[in-house]
Amino acid sequence: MSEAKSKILILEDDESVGLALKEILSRAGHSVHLATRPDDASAHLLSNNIEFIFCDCLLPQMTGLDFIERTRQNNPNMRFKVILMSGVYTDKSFIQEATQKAQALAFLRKPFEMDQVLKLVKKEDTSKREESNARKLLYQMFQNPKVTNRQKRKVIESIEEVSGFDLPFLYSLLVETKSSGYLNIYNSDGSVSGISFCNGNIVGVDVDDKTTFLGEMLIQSGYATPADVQHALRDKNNRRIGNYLIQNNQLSPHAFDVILMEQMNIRLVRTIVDEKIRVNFASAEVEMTNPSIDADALSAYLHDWIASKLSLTWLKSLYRMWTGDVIAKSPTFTDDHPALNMSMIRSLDGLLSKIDGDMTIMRLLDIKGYSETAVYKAIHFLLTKGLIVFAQKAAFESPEVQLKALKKIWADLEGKNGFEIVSYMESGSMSSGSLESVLEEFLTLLGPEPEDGKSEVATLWTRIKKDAEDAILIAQDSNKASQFRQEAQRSEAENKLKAASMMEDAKKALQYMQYPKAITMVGEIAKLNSTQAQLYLYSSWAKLGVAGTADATRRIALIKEVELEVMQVPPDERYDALYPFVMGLLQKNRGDMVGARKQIEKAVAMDPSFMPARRELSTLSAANKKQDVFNMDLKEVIGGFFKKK
Amino acid sequence: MSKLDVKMDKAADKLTVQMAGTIDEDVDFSQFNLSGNQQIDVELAGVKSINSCGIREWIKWMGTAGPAKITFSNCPKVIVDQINMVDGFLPSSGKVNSFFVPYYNDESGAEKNVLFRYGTEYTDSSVTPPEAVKDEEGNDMEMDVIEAKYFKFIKK
Repeated sequence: MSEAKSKILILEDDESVGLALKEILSRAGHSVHLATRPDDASAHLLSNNIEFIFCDCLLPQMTGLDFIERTRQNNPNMRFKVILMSGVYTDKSFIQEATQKAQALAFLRKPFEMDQVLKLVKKEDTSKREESNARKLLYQMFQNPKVTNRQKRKVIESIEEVSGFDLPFLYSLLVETKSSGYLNIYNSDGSVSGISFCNGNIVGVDVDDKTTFLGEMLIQSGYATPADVQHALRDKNNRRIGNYLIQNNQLSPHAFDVILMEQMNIRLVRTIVDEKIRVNFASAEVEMTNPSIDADALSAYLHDWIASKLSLTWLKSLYRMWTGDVIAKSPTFTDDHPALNMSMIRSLDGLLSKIDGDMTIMRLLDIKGYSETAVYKAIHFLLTKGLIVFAQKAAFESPEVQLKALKKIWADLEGKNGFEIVSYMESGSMSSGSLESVLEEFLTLLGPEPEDGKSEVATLWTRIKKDAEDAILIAQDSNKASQFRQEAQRSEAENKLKAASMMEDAKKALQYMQYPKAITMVGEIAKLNSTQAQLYLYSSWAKLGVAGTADATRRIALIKEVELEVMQVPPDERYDALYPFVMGLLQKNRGDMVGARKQIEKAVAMDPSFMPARRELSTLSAANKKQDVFNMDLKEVIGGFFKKK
Repeated sequence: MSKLDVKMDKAADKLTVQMAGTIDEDVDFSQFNLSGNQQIDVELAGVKSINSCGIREWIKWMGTAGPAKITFSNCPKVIVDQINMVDGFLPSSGKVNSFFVPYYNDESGAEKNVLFRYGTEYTDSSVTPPEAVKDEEGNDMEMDVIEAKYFKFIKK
C-alpha cells in the first residue's frame, strides 16, 4: 500500500503564515490547499476529501470556530480533523473552550514551531495507517520470530474488531510466541469469554456456555463404558463425574486428562464464530496447570478447526489482499515440521515444493487437481502455524495476469447492487476505518491502470473502478445504507429460520428412510444457511442411505463425498448421538460391520430414544448373528464351525 | 486461593476499597459488602490483571452497590481497557477520578505510566496530556496507546 499522505486545507488570512505552513506541509509530501477566506475554503472542502483543517480563529467573514461549526452542520458525513491557530486569543480558558467546541486535535499559539505542525500530522497519519493495516499486520506477525509482547499487544489493540474466524490465528500466535496472559474476547451480545496462556500453553478456556459434554466424551472415546458413565451420573453425589470414575478404578487419570483437553478444545471451538468480536490481550503471570494445550496439541486442533469451522467465503475474502503476492517460507519453516504431515497439506500433491519463492494463491488455484477449498484451507493452516508469510511483489507481471485477476473480481461483483458491492469490499478489507479507506484498499487490488487504454484489461479495470466508486457514493447516504443493512439482516434471519424448520422436515424424511428426498432438502438448506448446525451430518446420513441401495460405482463416489463431509463436522457437533450413528453407517457401507456396530452402540448409549440408531443396531445384530465371530463367545464360534449345514 | 488483596475502610457514609493483585475466577467478592454506602472510592493502582471470569464477578459485585456514587482512582491500563470494552464495568453512577496512561520511548525502550487526573489532564469531554513526558535519561516519550480507543470512556 502506498504511503498515506494527507489532504490538508489551511484557512488563514495572514498570507505569510499561510504560505509558510503550506510550504512546510507540501515539502513533507502532503497535498495542501491554502484559502484566505471561508467561502474559498468551503468550495475546496466540498470537492476534496480533506483530512485536516488548519484554521485561524480570527477570519474576515466569521470566526474560525463558526466556520468549523457551520461546515460540520452542513456536511454531517464529512470527517476531518481540526487544528486551531491564533496569535490573538491565547488565554488558557479560551483555548480549552475553543478546543472542546471545535473538537480540535490541538491549538497552536502563534508563532509556532513548524516541527510541531509536522509532528502533529505525522502522528495522526501513523495512527490512521496503523488502524487500516492492523489486521494485515496481525497476519504478518510471524515474519518477525522475535516479536515482543509489546508489539503483539500493540497490534491486537490497534484492531477495532476482528471476526471470530480470526481467533485460531490469534491463539496460534500467542502459543507459538510463548505468551503468558489473558486474552479477553468481547462478543457482540455483550458476553465476555477468555483464554489464559502460560508460557505458550493454553491453560484455561472460559466461555459462557457451560455444557461439559463429559459423559458423551467418555463414551465416544471408549475410555469408559456407557454403563459406568450412567452409573456415575446417578450416584456421584455431587462429586465430579471424572473423580468418581477414577476413584472407582473405572477411568485412568491420564485418560481423564485427555478428555479434559478435548473439553478445552470444544470450548475453544465455541469462540470461533462468524461474527464480529473485540479482543484485548494483557500480559500477566498465569499459573501453569494441567491439562494444558501446547503448540503440538494445538496444531491438531487448528487443523481440525480450519477444516471444519472456517468457511470458504471467509477465507476467500481474507486472502483477497494477497492473491497477487508471493507465498514465502517463514524463518521458522523447517522441512520436518510435524504440521507439514497433516492431511490438509498432504491432500495437495507436491504443495510444499511449489512454494518456491514465485508462487501466488492465484497460481496455486490454477493447478490441476487442486480444489479451491483445499488450497485456501491448506494455505491458511500454514499461515496460522507461522510457516509461511506473504512477500510483497509487483502484483501483476503481465497484462494477461492482471486481466485474469480482474475477471475473478468482476465475476464476484457482477449483478450486485451498490450496497452489496460495498459489503464485498468491506469483507475483504483489512481496514476498519472509513468507506474511503475501504475503497482505497480495494483499488490497490486492481493493480495500476493499464497503459493501453483500449485493451480489454483497461476496459475492465475502468469498469470495476467506476462501479466501486459509485457504490461508495451510494453507501455514503447513511439512511439508505442502514435501510439496506436492516433488510439484509432481516433476510438472513428469515433464511436461518426457514433452514432450521426445513432441518426438522429433513430429519423426518431420514427417519422414514426417504433418502433421495432428504438429499434435495439438505441441498436447499445449505443454500439458505451454509452454517446450519448438523448440516453435514444430515447430508451424510442421507447420502449413506442412498449408497445402501446404489451400484458399486455410485456407492464408492457417495462414500468419498461423505468422508469429506464428516471431516468438516465441527468438534462440538461430534458429541451428539448423531455423529457416532453416521460414522456407524459409513463403516457399514465400507463393509466394516464390527466397527459399525460399535459406533451405533455408542449412539444408542448417548441417546437411548434415538430410534433410527436402535433400528440400525437390531438390523446389524440380526445380520451379524451368523458371521460376527469377533463378538461371539468362544463356544459359539467353535460350535459354529461344526454346525451341520 | 484468591490472588487479590482487598482492604475496606469505612468512615461515616464513605467506603474506601483498596485492591491489589489479580481478579480472576478465584475471587470471592461476596465477602466484601458494598451495600448501604452513599459514596464508594475504589483505589485500583495495585491491580495487575483481570480475566473474563473476573470481569463477570466484578460486574455482579458492582451491581450490589445500589445507588452509591462510585469513583475509581489510579486505574491501571488493564482496568481502563475493561471500562472501554465492557458495558457495566464502570457502573452508571461511576466516575473515573484518575487513571494511568502508558508512555514509551522507541529508542531506549523505556516505559512509564503517567497519571491523568480529572480536572487536570482531562475533563468530561476533553483530554489535555502533559506537554512533555521524559524518561530517566531525559528523552521524549510518546503515548503508548491508541488515543481514540483508550480515552473512549471519557467521551462516553
